[in-house]
Amino acid sequence: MRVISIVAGCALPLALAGAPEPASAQGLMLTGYADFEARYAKTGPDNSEFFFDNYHFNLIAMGKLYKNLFASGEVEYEHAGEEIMLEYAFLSYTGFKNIRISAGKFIVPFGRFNKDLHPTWINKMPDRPLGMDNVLPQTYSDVGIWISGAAAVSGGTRIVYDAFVVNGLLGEDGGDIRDLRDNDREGLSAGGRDNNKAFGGRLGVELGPQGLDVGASVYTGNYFDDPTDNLTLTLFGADAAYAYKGLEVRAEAVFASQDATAGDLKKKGGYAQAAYMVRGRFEPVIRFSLKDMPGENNDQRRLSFGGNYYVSANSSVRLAYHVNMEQDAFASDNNAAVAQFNIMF
Amino acid sequence: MTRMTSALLATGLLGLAASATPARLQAQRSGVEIWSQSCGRCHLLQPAIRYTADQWETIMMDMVIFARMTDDDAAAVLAFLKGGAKKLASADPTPGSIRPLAVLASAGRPGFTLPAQPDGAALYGQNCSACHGKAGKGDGAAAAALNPKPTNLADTTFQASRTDAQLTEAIANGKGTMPGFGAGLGNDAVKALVAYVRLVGAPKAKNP
Repeated sequence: MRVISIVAGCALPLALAGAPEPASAQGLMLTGYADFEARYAKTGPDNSEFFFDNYHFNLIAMGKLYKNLFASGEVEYEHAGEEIMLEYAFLSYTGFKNIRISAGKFIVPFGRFNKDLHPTWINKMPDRPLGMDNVLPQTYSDVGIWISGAAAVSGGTRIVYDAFVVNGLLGEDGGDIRDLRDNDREGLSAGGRDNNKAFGGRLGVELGPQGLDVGASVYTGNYFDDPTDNLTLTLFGADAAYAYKGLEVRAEAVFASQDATAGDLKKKGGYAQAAYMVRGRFEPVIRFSLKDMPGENNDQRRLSFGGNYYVSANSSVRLAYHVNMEQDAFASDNNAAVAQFNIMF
Repeated sequence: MTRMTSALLATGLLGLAASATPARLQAQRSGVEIWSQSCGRCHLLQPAIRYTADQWETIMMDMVIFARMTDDDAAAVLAFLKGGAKKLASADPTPGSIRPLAVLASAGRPGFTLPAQPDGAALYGQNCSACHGKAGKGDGAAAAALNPKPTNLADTTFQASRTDAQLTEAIANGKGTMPGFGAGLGNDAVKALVAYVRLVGAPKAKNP
């Protein structure tokens, strides 16, 4: 904890040491993204549901406060209901060459989908892949310190890195990982505050000219504080993407090792996806995603077919059809179809 | 505490590695090339004309953090984007409405549409395409009558061998049989033309 205090204590004076500039001159921006969708899903042999959803209306404010001090925040309004949350809000110091130091609440840089690809105007399908929920609790943001950066190696090749220390996922013994991400910790004992921190990061290589990038991520921390035995959750992730002309192929895998008094839990999830842009407008997409969970009949497989039409560079219509396959292979009948319009503004 | 200390130490080492990277190892790539690669890794490329220069500065600061760009890459991309940024001739506070994807520039990689810079594209069409051709290949209608032939702007080697400053100099003051356009068009137009010439040439250089 002292280390964190020292780092934080040094960062602030360094940030303020930069030549102050009036924020008004630095283009405070209000931006964000929104989407609207219609969804039809089979919920059983004789049941189905059809509904409209205003899944996201997220506002992002960002601006330069001083020469090297930057602020960014996103307010997430989901499902046109009462779910309004702070997705992230952090301060960043960018005064060191190729190194950024951020503090506040940020999207935890684990893998690519969680931090970079989940916004609907970026995600090539209207839904998140399986595994990006109960294994990696996307969108997972947390409070702490985040250091990130890049280094040029040669040509267009870059090594990129993220490292973070955060309060960490927290919840019940053996609980669903998605339920551990709640940053509103007031309902937990002692307000969810403890001395245990979670840490991790991602190390990646971007081979720019080849259109290839790969990365590995890790997260580890106690998620349940027991007087006699702290329970740890560790996540390992691997991601890879390749782009050539109109083709983009991407895959990501997450493995979770979760301590539990009733027996340690192993979970895994991931996806592989291919998309091909035709004439810069139409983009067919196919995605296979899975999650393997403890217990009987909890594994899932999903094959998704989609097509995107880009109305503009910042808006698109996405259609997707999900073929869901449960543990009992192909027995269940809970396929779904989604039509979505999204826009980044 | 041990784990935390290790993590911070590891981060520090990474940082040192980054800062110790010799400048010569930094890729000498054009802003448009980095733009098409780095920004296109996650999302469709946004036209430079969509935002003002100030707004691009803010956005790039955000992207430097989110997209993990090097300082040099970010500076090159910012210079490119600011070159084609929206000018606020009149009060226009909107960061950008839905704009149709502009001219396809045969972007190659990720299949993204490279939106043309309207000013640069128009200026190019009016002043350059007669000799250099619509696609910059040096095959314009007037090319047959010229000797030496107009430069193939879409050529990878040519693009890699010229800095923006050299292109600016050539367009502004002329070179060989090509007249200078600086006096007649002004600095902003020349800058837009340089950006457009890069747009014409860089994608091909990336994806043969």
